[in-house]
Amino acid sequence: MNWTAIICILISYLPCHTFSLEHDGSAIIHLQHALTGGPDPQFKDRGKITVNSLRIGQAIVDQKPLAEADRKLIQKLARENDLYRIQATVIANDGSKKTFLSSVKACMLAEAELDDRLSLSFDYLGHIIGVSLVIASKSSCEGSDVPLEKLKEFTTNVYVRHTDTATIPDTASYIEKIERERDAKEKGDVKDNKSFLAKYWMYILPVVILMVISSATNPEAQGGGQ
Amino acid sequence: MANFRSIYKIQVFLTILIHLTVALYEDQVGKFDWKRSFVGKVKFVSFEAKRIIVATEENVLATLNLNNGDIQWRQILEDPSNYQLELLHVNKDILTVSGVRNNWLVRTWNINTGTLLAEWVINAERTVPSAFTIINGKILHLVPITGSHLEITTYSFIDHENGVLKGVTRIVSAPWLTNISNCVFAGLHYVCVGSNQLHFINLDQENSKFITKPLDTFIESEAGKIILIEYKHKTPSFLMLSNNIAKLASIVDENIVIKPFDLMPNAVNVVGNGKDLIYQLEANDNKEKLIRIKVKDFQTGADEFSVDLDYPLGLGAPIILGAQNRGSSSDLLLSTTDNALLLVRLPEAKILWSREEALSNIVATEFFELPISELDASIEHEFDNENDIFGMFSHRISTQINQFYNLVFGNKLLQNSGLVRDEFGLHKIIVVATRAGKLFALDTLSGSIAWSYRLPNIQPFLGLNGQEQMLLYVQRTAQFAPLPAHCILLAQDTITGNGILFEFDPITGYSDKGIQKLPYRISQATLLLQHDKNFLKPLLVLSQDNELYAYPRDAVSVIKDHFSTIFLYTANSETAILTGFTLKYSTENQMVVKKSWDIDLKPSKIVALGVKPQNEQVHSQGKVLYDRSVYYKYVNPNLLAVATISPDPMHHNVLSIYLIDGVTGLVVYGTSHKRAKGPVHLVHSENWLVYSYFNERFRRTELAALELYEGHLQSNSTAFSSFAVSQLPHIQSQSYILPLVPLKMAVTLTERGITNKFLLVAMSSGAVLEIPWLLLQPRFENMPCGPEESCIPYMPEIPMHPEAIINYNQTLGRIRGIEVAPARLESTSHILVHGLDIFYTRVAPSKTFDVLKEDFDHKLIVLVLSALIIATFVTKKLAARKALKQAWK
Amino acid sequence: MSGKFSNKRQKWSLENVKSNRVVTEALASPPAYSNSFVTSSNEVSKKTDVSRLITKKSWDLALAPLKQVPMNLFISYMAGNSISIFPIMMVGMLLMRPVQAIWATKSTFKMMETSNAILQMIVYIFGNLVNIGVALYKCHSMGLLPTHASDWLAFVEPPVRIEYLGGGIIHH
Repeated sequence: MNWTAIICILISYLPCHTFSLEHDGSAIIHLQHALTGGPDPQFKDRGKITVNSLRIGQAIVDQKPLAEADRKLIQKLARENDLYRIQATVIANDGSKKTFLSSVKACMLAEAELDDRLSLSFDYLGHIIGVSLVIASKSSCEGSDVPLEKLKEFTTNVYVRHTDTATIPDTASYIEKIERERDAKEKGDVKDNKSFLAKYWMYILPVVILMVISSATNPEAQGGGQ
Repeated sequence: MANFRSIYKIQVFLTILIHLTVALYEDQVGKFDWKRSFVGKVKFVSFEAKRIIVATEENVLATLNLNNGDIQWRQILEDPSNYQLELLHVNKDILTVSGVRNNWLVRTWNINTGTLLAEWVINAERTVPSAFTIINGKILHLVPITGSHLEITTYSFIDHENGVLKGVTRIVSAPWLTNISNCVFAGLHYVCVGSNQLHFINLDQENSKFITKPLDTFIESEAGKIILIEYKHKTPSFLMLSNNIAKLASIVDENIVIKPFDLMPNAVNVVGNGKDLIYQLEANDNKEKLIRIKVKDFQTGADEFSVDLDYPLGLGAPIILGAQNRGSSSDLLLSTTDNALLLVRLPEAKILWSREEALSNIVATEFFELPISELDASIEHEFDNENDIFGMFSHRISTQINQFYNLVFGNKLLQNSGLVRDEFGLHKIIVVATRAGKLFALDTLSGSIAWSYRLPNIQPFLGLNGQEQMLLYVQRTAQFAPLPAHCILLAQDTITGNGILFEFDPITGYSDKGIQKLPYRISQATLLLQHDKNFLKPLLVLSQDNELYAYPRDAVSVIKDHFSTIFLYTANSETAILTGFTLKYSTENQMVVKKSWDIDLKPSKIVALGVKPQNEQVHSQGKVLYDRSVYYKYVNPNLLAVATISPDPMHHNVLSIYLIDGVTGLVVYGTSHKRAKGPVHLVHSENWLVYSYFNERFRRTELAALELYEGHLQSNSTAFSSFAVSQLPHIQSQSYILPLVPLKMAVTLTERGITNKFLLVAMSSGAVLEIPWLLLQPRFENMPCGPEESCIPYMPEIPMHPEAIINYNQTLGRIRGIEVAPARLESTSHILVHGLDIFYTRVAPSKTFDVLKEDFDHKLIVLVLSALIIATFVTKKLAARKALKQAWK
Repeated sequence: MSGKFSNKRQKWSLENVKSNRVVTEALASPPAYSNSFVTSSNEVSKKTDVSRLITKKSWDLALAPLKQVPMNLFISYMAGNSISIFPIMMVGMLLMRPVQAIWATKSTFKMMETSNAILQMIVYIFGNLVNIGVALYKCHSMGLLPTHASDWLAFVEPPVRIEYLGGGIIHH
């Protein structure tokens, strides 16, 4: 139970070269988490994340190591297979405020040794649409007992994710392709005037080889006969 | 020349492509498809010799055959949500006025062929509800101005400019005028009821004024409760309804004369055989014949005769729409509260035909497998009493004798009941709920109505973009014989808006509980996969104040172990907020939903939401690449596709598509189209999404396809959990030009998902096109694409072959939905296209690879085989004889 | 049938014997020609010759499969990699023949009547194995061997769904 599952493939945000963001902006995210389980959780401060440039997507994560009591609470949540919930209050650079809730399985968080990923999704204008907590893992769990020393501090990776610019029907390259094919065909027509041998050498060659071999073996056979 | 060559090249490629589409042969027309045409709820009607001309609330003008009710011709006018027919006038030609607010279209139609003869436009200034009439070949447009006056504009057909009619307006003072619904036409007169007073005006006279008469002089009733009803008669007459009793009033020499007898509000006048008669419907005490047609004399009110009508039980209360006398007999056209149309022929009071016009607006559909035949069921009962060996033996013998009997003499049972499951599941029952609140079961083989059930006072929910829908769930299929199939319909109460729940057996239409009124408003509902001891799948209903209810109520004990794996989500189209809920904190005694995530798409507006079909099977877990390696699909059953449109000052409208995991709320992917607007149609299936939108920049409809892949490694091949995210999917996308205007899109669905997929696109032209998914599937970059990789090279424009239209030449009016269900045959899908028409067909995207062709010659093969066997024996004998002979030589 | 045949032969041999006798009686042996010597020397050489021939023959037999390898390679090359009836038949033959030959090794070498043909048998089997290898390589290059992940794709079961989701647009 104590072995730590190190996941080989972690969330890899593939930087899309086509992502579209009209205006750059910044965002401050206040994170609160609920360490008490149950239907009505109590949220308390977890830390602050500052994204200075949405376009670059670099985030400064400011989180303190967990207190002993909080670690025990997380351990308890994991043991009881409860949900670990966070509430993210996002303050955009125009001062607007939006609050998002996100939940993960506490046992997965504990098994990952508090290594979590925060996905911040923005629309094409840079408005935040969702904040999700994600644990990189290959399978989910149904409660687990993780020793306290493994639950020290959140190592949070923040991923700022924009929308892609959608593809448009690619007529230009299609026409190009058709023209290329046409040219190739026209060229092919010219090349067809090659000599008979040049065109069908691959069929003639085996026949010739066969004949050579048979003629090489035939005198022997005749000699043997005599 | 170059262009010609490229076109030629495309043409060659297209001919290859035709092999992908499955066209119909001429002799297959109507073999497994059928079409039913409707006109909608009838608004105006006019009898014309052997035909009935109807104008309906669906903004349809049609003529029906008087003798059988068939549609002779039908003209579908503009969208009924905006445009409405306001006037139907028949005089050699048909004249209609239809329009919206202050734009009216006056059209004349040929009565025999339904062709449009002429069209004029009326541009009125006022946008208030108004009335039209025709007097002396001129159109009169009456616009009431509340508390002030009535504007009467006369349009003559001679006076127009580029088709726009010019009118002459005169104003008649009417300070008492409140609402146009208080007024009716009475011949050339226009009669209004005000408080305590009756006002009427002769429209035929120039400069005429309203003449006012006090009400209490001729009717004893409380003021303000009088309703006027039109009554067509040669003397200007109308009905005055108070306390559900109608009095007939006539205008004679600027005076109102009240007839001394009482009438029903649905009385009509029929003149014929020198008699002037009033026809009306009355409720009957006779339980067998609920409706009585009573005929009275117009002058005296004396009862001429009355006849009991053998009224079908399933229909709602009727009213008389129109009547005509045909010498010795007369015809009454009745319309019921559930939009059915009946023609009754008097004096024998026989219902000549009926049309279920409720089917012109379907709001929910479900396909049902039929129960096995009694014989097959009896075989399954063999082991019911395992201890009694003799009983089992005799049971076996008797069923086998029965089977043999059926084999030899044809299936008696099948002929008797008809609704029995066939081998390939091609015979199904389609249960549809209509906007009028009537349930129908349609037989897929013939299109006939197996049963119908009327639910009074229910209405559909309003979904996205004002789309009306009811919710139909299959709790138990017919597979669990002897338990009957079980189905639930969820709708809304017309009065309170609270939920309505109706449980029924979809095969017979029998309901033991009837309509159940729920004490809350329904927000969402979902059917779970586990079933209880009666094999009923529990239905969870979420109320608008986020309370959760389970049906059947004791189903909680079944799902209590699964609470932590059941998640719900709601999408609010008004606030553009998506919310996820968990049932984790529920107990057996109390189910609670707790919010687990939210997504805020403001300031965008949700325009479409695409979920995968609940019963979809994904057979292949990956795509084989050219080098024979596997690229695994990202098949997330909890993935939602949300389309939003946000107004943008720079790009007009921006369409964004988000793929959201519905369990965790993680935005898996987002993409945006600049200068794109709706309508957006989403189709979400397996690991891909297809959506259509309108490109404002190029002014064309485009189709985009997204495909999601995990990559060369499958992160977890045994179980899929939305919480375990090891890698975000790789997205492949490609977009296309769609040379048509899509109204609806759907994708074919088969039993195991082995068969290729077809995208079905309903076009505004009334055709339904099938597009192979292979044509849309995004191509991998830097990878060869050819027949060996089962890949069609990219073409920016989707070709439209006439062969790919599944409804061939059967144009469908105003398509509102395409419903798809799998057959038991893997190759085949059932398709129901509904709108003004209902069209059913079967499609086989990979052709019917699992059945023999129809023209397969069974007899020939049996003949050949038996001939061969006989020949073997004969030659063996002959050979032996010859050997013997030779041995003796 | 056999009776008939022997009858005929008897007839013929009778005549033959008669004429033979006539010939031998008529002509005397040439000078310095001893009839008996020839037969005796013949018998000696026959003895050594037979054993040599058997070993030679058994080695011929053992090496035959190996000699076939270039031919098989040539056939494989000529058959091409397209999957149609003739290449498939050829590949089938290529594969089936050595397998059958291996099975029939013992009976093949029984004819040789030599006890110590173990080495030849090993060479024979080895040669056939080489032929099988050639055939398998051909199968591989034709794509007939399930050596890729995609060949097992049809057997991959869909993952079990852990969470269940329901819901939709809020109805009004």
